Amino acid sequence: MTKRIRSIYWALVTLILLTWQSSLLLASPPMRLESLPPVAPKEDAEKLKQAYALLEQGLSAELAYRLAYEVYQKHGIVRAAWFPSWLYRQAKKPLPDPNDRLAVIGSVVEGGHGLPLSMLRRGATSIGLLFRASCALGNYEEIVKWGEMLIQAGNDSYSIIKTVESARLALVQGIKQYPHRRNLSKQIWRPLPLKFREEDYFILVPLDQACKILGLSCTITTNPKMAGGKGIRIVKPDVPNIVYRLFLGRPLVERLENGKGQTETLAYAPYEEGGVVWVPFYWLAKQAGIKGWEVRNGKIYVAPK
Amino acid sequence: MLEKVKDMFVMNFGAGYYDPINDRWVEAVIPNDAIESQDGFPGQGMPLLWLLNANEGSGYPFRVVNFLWGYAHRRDVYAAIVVPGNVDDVYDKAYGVTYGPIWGNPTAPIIEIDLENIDEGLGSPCNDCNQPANRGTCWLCFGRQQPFQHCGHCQTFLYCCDCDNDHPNDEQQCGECGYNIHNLSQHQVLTWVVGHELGHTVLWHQPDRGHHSGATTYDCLIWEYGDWRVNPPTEFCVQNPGCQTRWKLNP
Repeated sequence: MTKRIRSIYWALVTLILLTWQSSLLLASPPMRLESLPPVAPKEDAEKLKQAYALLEQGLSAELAYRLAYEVYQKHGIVRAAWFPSWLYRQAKKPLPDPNDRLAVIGSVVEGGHGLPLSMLRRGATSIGLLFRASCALGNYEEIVKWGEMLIQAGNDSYSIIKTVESARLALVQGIKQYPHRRNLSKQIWRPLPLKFREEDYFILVPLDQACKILGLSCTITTNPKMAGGKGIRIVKPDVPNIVYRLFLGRPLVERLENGKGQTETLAYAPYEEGGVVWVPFYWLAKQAGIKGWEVRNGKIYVAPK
Repeated sequence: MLEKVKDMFVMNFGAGYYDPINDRWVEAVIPNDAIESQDGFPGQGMPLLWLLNANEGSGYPFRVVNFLWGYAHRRDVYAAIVVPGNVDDVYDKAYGVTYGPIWGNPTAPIIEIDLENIDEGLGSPCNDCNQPANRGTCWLCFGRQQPFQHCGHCQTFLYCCDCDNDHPNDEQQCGECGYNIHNLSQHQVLTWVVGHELGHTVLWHQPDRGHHSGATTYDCLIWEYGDWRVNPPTEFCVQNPGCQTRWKLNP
């Protein structure tokens, strides 16, 4: 009986997914896009992935812009989506194609992988990245150019509209560039004695070592009751009433202030491998009050606090 | 079109839950009370949503909303599915997307909520500018279209810089402005976004998938934008009672 129900269930799921594919229309704030942009070829998708990582980590917006622009020049508006590399190493069964949104959501709905695949899946479009890079660069003309293109393509979300309006206003007043942007002097940046790995263009560091070096108080305890089997807590010594909880395999942070929690997001989910908990450096650096950092000659260099 | 007066169920795949297979707790990403709270959807225009924690319960994943269908207690209900996700490869910076109608379509009405984009709106890297008074100044300055140089430290709406003016030319003091000038809680914003998306599932057949525009629909959950106002809407649509009836539960 159970077997019969199971086969009917899977037939229905297949039917639903097939019908879905043919009638895909996305709505919401914004909802005018009737079809998805094409998927970027593999090599160009990699460039979009790198540009995304640069922007999310607060690294070179110039390089991010260049990479996304190369893709835009070749293919126009294209999209790319991906899962983190560690997920492929740790998955017990084949993962869906990250570009196939419906298969990914279907996997979550079916509870297949025990991890929030729809959140681990990351994606971007060529013009979305160009817009973000322009914002990071403070270039109002570019913000208007790419923002208008996004809006025209159906991305009329409130934040994009307001950002473009603001940039237009600046241009009307004769301001082309955000005035306070300047190059930080990197001569005085110092290297950190911290090993790291680069994955998916994110700089990842071992949590316990990084906390010692950055002056954060971190505890990693074995706790089978927590997602990933580890309880991870991070406290800034000067703000002891705020506790951050990380979760293995989930791109989330729970920020507890005086016991009251708020969920925040991470651009890259922490994961454990070989007994080491790897965490994106950009997030730890932010918690440690580091304003600027980069990787140079195989080392992480940080700006003085 | 016949008026739809139905129960509405919401299956929340972002809810926290106990995973009995691995014997562990998994934190909520979309807290249940963002969907069912009395603070969230108390209005007459909203249905009393029946919330299902999609991650819990026996028989997973073989749970269906029309339970006992064909045997007994058959109820004609609709169910929407809420899933946390990432939508930037389709709608950059959008807070959520809806994939289809709640009726008249064999597909599941899935709603994907992008917490990272919501977080960006809530977020505020510049601590000084995060003070409501300072951020309010930026906003008013922008809204009134005054020249930026008259706005003190807020050079543009995009960035707030050094609101205490200690380091007037120091980029390190700058941060991107968020939008949450009235300090809405994450719960309020999530409730608003989920409610808005649920509206699309019901009004999918209408122009612009049911978005309402114009001054009279400003206080409606399905108003076309989310603008971080003091009191976010909790009503489906005050000015369009015809729409409300589509949501009424057991009138």
